[in-house]
Amino acid sequence: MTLAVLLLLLQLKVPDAAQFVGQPQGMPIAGAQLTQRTNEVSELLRCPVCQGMAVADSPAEMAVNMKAQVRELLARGYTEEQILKYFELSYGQFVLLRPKFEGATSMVWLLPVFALLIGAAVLFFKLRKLEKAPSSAAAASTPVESDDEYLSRVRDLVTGGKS
Amino acid sequence: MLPWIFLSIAIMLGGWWAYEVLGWGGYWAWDPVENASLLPWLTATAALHSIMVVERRGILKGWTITLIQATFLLVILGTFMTRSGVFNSVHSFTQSEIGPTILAFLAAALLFVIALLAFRIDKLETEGRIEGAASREAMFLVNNLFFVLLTFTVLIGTVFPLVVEAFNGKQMSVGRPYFDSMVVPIGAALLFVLGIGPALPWGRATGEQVRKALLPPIATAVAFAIVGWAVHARGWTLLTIAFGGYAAHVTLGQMFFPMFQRMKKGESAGTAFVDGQLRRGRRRFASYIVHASVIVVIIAIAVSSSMRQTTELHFVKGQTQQASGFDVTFVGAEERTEPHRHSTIARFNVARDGKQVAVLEPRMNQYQSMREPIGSPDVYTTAGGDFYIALSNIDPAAQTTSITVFAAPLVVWIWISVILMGVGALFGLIPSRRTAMREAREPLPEAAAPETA
Amino acid sequence: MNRTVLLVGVIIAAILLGVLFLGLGKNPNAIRSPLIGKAAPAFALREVGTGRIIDVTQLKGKPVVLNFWATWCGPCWEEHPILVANARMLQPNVQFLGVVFQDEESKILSFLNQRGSSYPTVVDDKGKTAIAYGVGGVPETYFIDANGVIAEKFSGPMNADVLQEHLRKVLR
Repeated sequence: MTLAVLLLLLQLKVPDAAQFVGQPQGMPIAGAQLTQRTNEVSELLRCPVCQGMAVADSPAEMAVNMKAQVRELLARGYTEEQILKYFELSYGQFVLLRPKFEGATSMVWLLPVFALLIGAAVLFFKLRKLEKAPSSAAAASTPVESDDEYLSRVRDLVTGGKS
Repeated sequence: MLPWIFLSIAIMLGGWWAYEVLGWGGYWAWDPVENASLLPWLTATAALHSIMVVERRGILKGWTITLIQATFLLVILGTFMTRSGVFNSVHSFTQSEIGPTILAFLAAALLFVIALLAFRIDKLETEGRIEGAASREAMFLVNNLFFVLLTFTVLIGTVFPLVVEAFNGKQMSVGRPYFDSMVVPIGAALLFVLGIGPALPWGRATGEQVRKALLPPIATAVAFAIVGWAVHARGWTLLTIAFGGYAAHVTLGQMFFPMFQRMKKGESAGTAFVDGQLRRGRRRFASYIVHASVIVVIIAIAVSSSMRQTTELHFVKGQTQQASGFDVTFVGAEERTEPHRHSTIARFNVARDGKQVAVLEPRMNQYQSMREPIGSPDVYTTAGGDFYIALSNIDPAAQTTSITVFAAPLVVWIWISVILMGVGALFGLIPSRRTAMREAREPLPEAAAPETA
Repeated sequence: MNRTVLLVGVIIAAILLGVLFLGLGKNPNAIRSPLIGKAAPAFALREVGTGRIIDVTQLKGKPVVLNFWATWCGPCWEEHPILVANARMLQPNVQFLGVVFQDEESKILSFLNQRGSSYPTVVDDKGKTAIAYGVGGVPETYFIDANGVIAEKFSGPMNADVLQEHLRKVLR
């Protein structure tokens, strides 16, 4: 008797995103838009079993399940950030193929920008220095209007100079 | 130069293999091992450009040597990435104990190179100068900046997860979305320089010259952009197409400039072409063939990756469905057993406007040594684009199947242009008689120049 | 001698080599779980064979060993006897629970009949439970303490030593 009551009380229940990232913050979507967004969001998730592939590209069972989960959450109106957060909570930052811009990981975004700035500065000063450098014999002998060493030879040739 | 050609072709073959065999519809995944092959290619390409400035201006010698050394080091690093098992990659051949050995070798090579550069670089420096920022040599410097930046970005993206893990123990990934968003702008900038650079004259240019050189190609850029807009290219893809148009105008103009010069002087087109392009201006002509191919490759990559359509379909036998303008009919599935594998092959009729254009037979291979089956796609290729079917699921008993269809424009041009790039570069390698003679007669400028500190 | 080149070169070399060296001993495929120290995601799934619904939250009060597996997975066959023997031995202090992932009920039943079982096995619904637990590939085993907090996670086939070691953490 008690067992029967207990069985009635219990219902099938799987972990749900709502427990982890709250209620959906976007609009539910469907149809072609849903398919497209599913692909876009699964491109951002790493398939945990398959060596650096995106969930969107992998035929592995786990990836297929994850993609189905993404689709379901999008259909219910969860936003990309919420979905990524949900997967991050269980798999860690490892699952995010696009590193987050926060803490130490922001450096992966910033370092190339710093490199560009430093490189541009070095280039600028180097150019200035080279412009001011005393012209050596080699540089000065290049005629200003000559486009190309070869072209000047062509010109010599066609204007009657001997080759 | 020759190694550069081989590496270019090899990278392309790798991409082509991934595309034709692996069945995820892509050719480049920014996997650590793929990046390992790209890194030395980038520095080698940069070095090929800066070496021209060395030849002509006598500057950047130290820098060029550094690039060449970096290429060498990156090849070793690439070996380490592939063989050490440290990187999480599709291609890692793991669990061999060779990692520490390669690392030690890399360390030794690195220290040797640093010592060499530090002690000797001052002996190489500069006897030339640059006349102005709007000159071709200045553009070579900008080109080098972007190539090095690209190398740096790819390297950072590849090793960054290791850095983070070393510092705070957290595991993270740097994947395709990162590389795409970082590399696309740098690639577009490089294409821009590829357009501007060759248009500018060596040495000092007057404002008038600069305007005459830079303004006309804008018309081609606009024309390309209009075509791009008409076929629904937007954003970076559209910008890339426009830059590509600009660069194409400049490249083709420069490519045939000597020939037109000769024709103006009354030579026949045939003689002018053979003599001006093929015989005397071979290196120049070849380098612009490579440039033209690069333009096509970049546009093809931009268009094929950003304008790819993906459709997932489920079929029962005899059913016809539409995908990206094609009618796809599932004719049936058959099984075939070979000694080393068991294959399930699906046959599809692909028709356009009621006319059958192709029969595609993607298959699912179950190799005896592996647990999970491996899909093998089939592609219908046209000049305009590829129509690509990969199986995700097939049941030969029930004669049902699930497929993923990719329709990607211009893919075939990537393979064609890279081959053309290799051919062009090879062609440029054939020494012209004149250069050979001159080299024999006079000593090389480097050798002649006294070593001044 | 150019000191700038030397300095910059040595810095770059040191960073690069240091990072690569630290990476050497590690297995890039071992993913550490961010769920350790957090509450185990709740689920209630149907048991294979009986159809009874087992709710993991009802198991609070004693440690749970949660094992994700499937019949098509070779390493799972390997660890099965170890899990069965330990579950029998540790009864009733520790509750073992199997979660089958991506499988058919008939195959699971015949597997369990053939190879024996000493603890209940439930079937996951489209991998949702596995995703919430951050399962990469089967087999993976989670050690949940009496308060329902995940204390440890182990990827790969379980062996007796690892099982004992991790159990000590949840039995305290």
